[in-house]
Amino acid sequence: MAIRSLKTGTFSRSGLVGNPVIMPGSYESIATVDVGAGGTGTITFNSIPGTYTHLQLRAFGHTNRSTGGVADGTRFNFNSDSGSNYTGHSLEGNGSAASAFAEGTSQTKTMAYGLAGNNSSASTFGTFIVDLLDYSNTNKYTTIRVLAGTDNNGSGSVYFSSGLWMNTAAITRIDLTPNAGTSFNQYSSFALYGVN
Amino acid sequence: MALQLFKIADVTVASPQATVTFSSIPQGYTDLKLVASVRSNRASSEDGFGVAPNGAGSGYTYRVLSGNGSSASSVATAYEQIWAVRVNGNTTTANTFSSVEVYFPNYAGSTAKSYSADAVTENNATEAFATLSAILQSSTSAITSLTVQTINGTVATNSTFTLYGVL
Repeated sequence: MAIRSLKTGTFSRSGLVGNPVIMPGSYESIATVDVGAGGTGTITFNSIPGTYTHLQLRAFGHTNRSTGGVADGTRFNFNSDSGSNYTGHSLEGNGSAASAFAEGTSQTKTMAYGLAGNNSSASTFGTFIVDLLDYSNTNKYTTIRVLAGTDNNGSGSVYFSSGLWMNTAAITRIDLTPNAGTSFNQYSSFALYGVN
Repeated sequence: MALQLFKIADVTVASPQATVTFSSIPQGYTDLKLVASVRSNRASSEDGFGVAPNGAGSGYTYRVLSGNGSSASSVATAYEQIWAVRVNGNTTTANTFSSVEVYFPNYAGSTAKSYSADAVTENNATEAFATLSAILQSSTSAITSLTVQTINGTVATNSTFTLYGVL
């Protein structure tokens, strides 16, 4: 098997000393939660190792929100903190207009938008990707950056959002709950990755 | 083969400085990805943040979509200088750093460099900025270095930058 050098781009046939070294990739799966029959009200990632540089959380989901729009938000709380230590902001496009909004100061959670609710078709799921840079760095608060969206064949939105947890503690736990609904539906999936 | 990310280098700013440079970038990857947790010492709610392939000081054009917590806007411009996104300035909530990602597809190719940048600032206030930028830099040289900087202020202490190669 030919081995490609990451330094020069050339190929060699051996990983022996003196030849280019192939390093392991930087993404590692920490945990994945797949929602089963009956749904679940809270998704929790606990005992998160502090050994990575960054975290990334990816979600594919549908909640049981049945009133209002086709999408639902997801509330984020870190390290079991439900105090007034959060805020967030979003840029949204709904297919006809772009807008921006703020969550308000000193909130009890921060948000990611873009999962589908029960006003969407049952097989429509929304998605979000959340980056948490320097999650274990105790010199700074945690800022999250979120890319999200859902499309229901005639309605839906795309979101580019931010969130802030005003605490310098390393993140060891993440709790996710639906914002308008009460549970995440079956077949929703949440995956947490460590990035070196 | 599945998408793979490999860390090339990382930098933590120990004292305020004007720029951060990644040099001698290996040429064997497909793309590059830079992530940054960054704050500027500019006495404002925000500062510009730019990434210069091979230190290029001109030849940039931009398409930008942004929000400020109240309204959204979009501009197209030829700044002819480094600028990509907005990051936290020094009047925002203390200890708060922006989250930035810049992606360079085909960085080692011989065409003009087209890349994307997305960034958020945060602030315990109504105003905070989300910026999505598409950038074209006219040089056709392979990227062997990247210089990052905040435009009006210095890069604040505890800002971090991580450069990855993508296969």
